[in-house]
Amino acid sequence: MTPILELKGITKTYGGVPAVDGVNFTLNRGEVHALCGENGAGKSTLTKIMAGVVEPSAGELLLEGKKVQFRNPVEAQREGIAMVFQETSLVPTMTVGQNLYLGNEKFFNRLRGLYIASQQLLQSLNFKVDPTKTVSELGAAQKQMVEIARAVLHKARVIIFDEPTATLTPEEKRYFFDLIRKLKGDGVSIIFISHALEEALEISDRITIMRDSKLIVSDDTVNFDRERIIREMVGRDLSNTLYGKKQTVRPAGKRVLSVQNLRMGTMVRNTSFSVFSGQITGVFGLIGSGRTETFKVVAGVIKRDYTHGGKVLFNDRPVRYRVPASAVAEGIAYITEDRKVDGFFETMSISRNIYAGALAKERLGHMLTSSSTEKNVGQAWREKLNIRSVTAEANVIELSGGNQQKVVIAKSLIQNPKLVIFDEPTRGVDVGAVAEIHDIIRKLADEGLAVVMISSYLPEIMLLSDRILVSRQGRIVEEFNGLEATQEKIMYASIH
Amino acid sequence: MLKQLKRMRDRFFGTGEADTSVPVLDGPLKPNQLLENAEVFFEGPALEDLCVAADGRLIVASGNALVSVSEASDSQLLVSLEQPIQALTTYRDGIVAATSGSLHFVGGHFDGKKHQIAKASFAGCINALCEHPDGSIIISEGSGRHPYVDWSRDLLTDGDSGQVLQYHPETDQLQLLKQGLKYPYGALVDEQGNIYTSESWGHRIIQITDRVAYSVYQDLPGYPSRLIKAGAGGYWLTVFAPRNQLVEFVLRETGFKNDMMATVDPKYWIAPALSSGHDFIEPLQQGGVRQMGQLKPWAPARSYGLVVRLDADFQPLFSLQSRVGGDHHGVTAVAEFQGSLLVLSKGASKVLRIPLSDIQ
Repeated sequence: MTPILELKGITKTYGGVPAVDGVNFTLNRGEVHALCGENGAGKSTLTKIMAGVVEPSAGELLLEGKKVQFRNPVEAQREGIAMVFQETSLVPTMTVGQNLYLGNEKFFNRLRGLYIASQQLLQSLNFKVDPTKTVSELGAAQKQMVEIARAVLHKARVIIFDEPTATLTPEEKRYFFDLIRKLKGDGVSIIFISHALEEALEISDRITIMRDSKLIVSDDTVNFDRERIIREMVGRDLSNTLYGKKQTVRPAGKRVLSVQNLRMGTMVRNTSFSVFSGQITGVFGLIGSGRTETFKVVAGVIKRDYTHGGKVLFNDRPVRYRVPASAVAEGIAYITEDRKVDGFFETMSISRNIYAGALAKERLGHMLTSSSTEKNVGQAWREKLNIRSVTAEANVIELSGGNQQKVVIAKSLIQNPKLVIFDEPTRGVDVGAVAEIHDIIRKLADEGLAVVMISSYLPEIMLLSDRILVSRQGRIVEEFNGLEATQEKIMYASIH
Repeated sequence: MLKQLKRMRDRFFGTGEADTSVPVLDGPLKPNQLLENAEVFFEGPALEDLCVAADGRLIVASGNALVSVSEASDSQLLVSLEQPIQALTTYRDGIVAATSGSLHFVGGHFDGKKHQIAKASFAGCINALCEHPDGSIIISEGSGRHPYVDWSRDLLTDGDSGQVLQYHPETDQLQLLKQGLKYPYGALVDEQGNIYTSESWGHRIIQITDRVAYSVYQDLPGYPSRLIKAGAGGYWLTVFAPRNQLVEFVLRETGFKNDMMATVDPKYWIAPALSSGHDFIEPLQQGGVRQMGQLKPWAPARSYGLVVRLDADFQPLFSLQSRVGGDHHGVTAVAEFQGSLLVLSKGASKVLRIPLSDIQ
């Protein structure tokens, strides 16, 4: 049977450097095809070529056996190829309904009818999103849902999902997988890019692995296991480093943070917990459980309720930060979950981003900046955290997700914090960089710092945490020792 | 004037002094049932304090009596005093016991000696003793206004009349080390001769140097009591009851608590208790957060048994607890005895034994 999509010898070079190098790839009708690889392996470029976002430098693209050439995404969409991007391409000032039907407007549009149609579509996909809400009001997961709904609405024959589940809760993931199975049943072919390997193993029929811009292997999913995928992806065996069983836990040091009856609107509801030095405190909770908001209050990113908002003691001293700068000055570093929005200045260099972190700590101390200090600082941290780039003067936007995350970490660590809060530190980061980021987190705890790691990924929480706090409905509801915790216990506490 | 305005603002916004938040029992203080499941080593009426004598015997204060307890839990009366014993310590080759007004020397060099404490504003609230390497005895006196049995009244009246004293048996000289403390309950001297006490209503452990108190561990989630040195280094601390928001709230409501003390039987006061569950008229004893048929682990409990193992810097390492629904509450004393930790639950009037090898 002719494959629905076939790529022959596809190459794409940027300034002579290949991003995709001579790739031959086939996608069968009604097939779920997982595309795996480290950040920078060339997955996104390859799929962008399929979706008409990027034109190939060489090679040919065959759709149902016929040679095609897409000059833009609209042409690809007309042929039934849709792509759901990792960074959503929705218009933030428009409503969900308007975004869904963007480009398909009629001469006269009736908003009510548009919202009813949107509501029906979203409900049929089990997505709990209000079509009348503006997109800017939505969380990351809900934006992703709207993107997926838009692809379904356009009746695409090939849908490419780039990291679709990174922001979804386990329940939403289940719905999403059901949706993929339904689309597959309808004959839609799906390309699924994911760093969550067990998802690729669960949902796909075939897996293709890319490394260093080349296609390494393409085989039926039954022939893969987690270890093989990792080995092919990174060219070495990392499975023990990433998923080994925790043998010991660090003892608690001095109580660095004591949160008592903290309250912030409806998101954080009378939560109490402590964080100790020399330990990694893992915080697990489903999206909406208030875990991020709790620590954003601690770090002064958002304010707690003014009346009866509870108490936060940092090093046994009551604190109430009105701006993050005050928290930074006292030694609290919050490393955001949304690095692209809050984490770095994308058009600035690595050095400048890291130096900006140092300047933030000094508050008004540095009226004049020093370009030589900036360079030295950038170079030193680039080496320390193994940030891979041609020079420290490379712009952050040019880096892969893992290296971008390392820049965000360096920007905070240069502030010499006493408490470091990592929010989803490895989201959208490839496995090689995950291991490196895990090492950075471990080292900080070994050096005696109090480390908090918020993560939705249970194996990561269980591997790194010395103690695990579970958040549910705006409260910390359970605490586990790192050795006694099991996935079942944590999940039970986070739901019941 | 400014203080009044600040107080009004705090009361309106629930901040500062009016904030009733209490720290949570987590990390090394995470609830467990080690005390509740511990073996009962000895039971007796009105148990108050215990210590291990220089000859290795375990000495327990039970009402007016000092009894020696052997490994087989057999007890032998050593002496019976005129008043209930409030505190106990080993002193050289003998024992010193404190009653409400005096110190009694039993055995050893000063055997039979009795020192009547005579000083202004003395209510007889001696609650802990400790031998100093210089031959003196450190005395912790919880309150200068209320007797020992009336400790909850001292809490409800914002008691800060506690003192730490130093008594020299050779000269009968009594020296004031620090006054104005919020119910000191515990006396400890380390190898360097530094003096420590726990301040129950201040929820902290303090070091007293030159009449100045420094916090070494503060904002405890309970009311700390006696301290001893641990054989393996560090210290053992007993916490006789946990703090809770209801009590913290009552403490800030002056009118209400005065009315309560004037009109209600003390056993029904909203105040910490050493034991609970004896009477259905008692105020809410436990948090009672019950979901899906299970008492949730974070439910606060008013009556609680808690022993905290501290390191040499007074930071908690782990704890032994008796939880909601348990019996071994109101822990006021511990001692290391023949490879075990003996815990005195005043609320249950029992001495519990836990092998140190099981918990270290």
